[in-house]
Amino acid sequence: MPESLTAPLADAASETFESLAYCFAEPAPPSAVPGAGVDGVVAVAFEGEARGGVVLQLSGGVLSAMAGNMLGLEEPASPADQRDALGEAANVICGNVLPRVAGVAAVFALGVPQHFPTWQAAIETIGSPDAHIALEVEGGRADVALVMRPAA
Amino acid sequence: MALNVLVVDDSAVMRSMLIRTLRLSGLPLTNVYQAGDGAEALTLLASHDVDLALVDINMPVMNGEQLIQRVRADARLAGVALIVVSTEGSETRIEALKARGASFIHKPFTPEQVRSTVLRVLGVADA
Repeated sequence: MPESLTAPLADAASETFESLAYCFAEPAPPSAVPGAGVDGVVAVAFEGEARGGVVLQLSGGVLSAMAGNMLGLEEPASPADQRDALGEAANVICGNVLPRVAGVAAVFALGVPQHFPTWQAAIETIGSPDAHIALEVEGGRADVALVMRPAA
Repeated sequence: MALNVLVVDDSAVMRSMLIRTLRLSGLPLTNVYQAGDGAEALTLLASHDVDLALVDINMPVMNGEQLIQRVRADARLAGVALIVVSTEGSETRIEALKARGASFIHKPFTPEQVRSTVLRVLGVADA
């Protein structure tokens, strides 16, 4: 996968976890996207000077920790708030990676977060990843994919 | 200075984060109102005194750009300070929002960024 996409995707994702959710993130060893212990999968599609989307899967309890941090809660966030937090994280990653790969003059319209039952279901809808990174976050894992195609 | 603030975002989590950030920033908040889209925000603005509105861009029903256009076109709302809080990365769109009289905070934000932008928009020197 091209370094021109993976490096900015990793930077945007790490910054989002750390600044949005106060969760320290570091690169995870390369391995297949987990199919078990999945907290949630969401995608944010975009169109503009290119089209595609960002897919985010959290596993191993990251989502509960992230949502709790975002809301400043001691107790676990509600399922609805966890779902909302997952979508917002994907939205922020998407909004932050696009200017890094397409330049600050490029204009994009982001869609609303779409939730999926599995990573594969999201990929089948959004497209095959042009970049994929994995991060260790709060003892769990975050997988983030970027799909970027020429504008139609 | 006592502030009546309106937070407009379709994410309830992001609204809560912003409100918590405003409170942690030490800003003197009197009333904090919430709206999930631009249309809800206009309804609230019609019936409540609001000094400052923090507005997301991508929202259903009525987005932030449409809301800002409506607020700026209404003389009764001329006193409402507007800050866009968004992931928007396009300088073209950010400059267009600023030209309509809105300031900009990029997501993810820090409490310091929120505080300094709010104080600057309201014309208040930081203590």
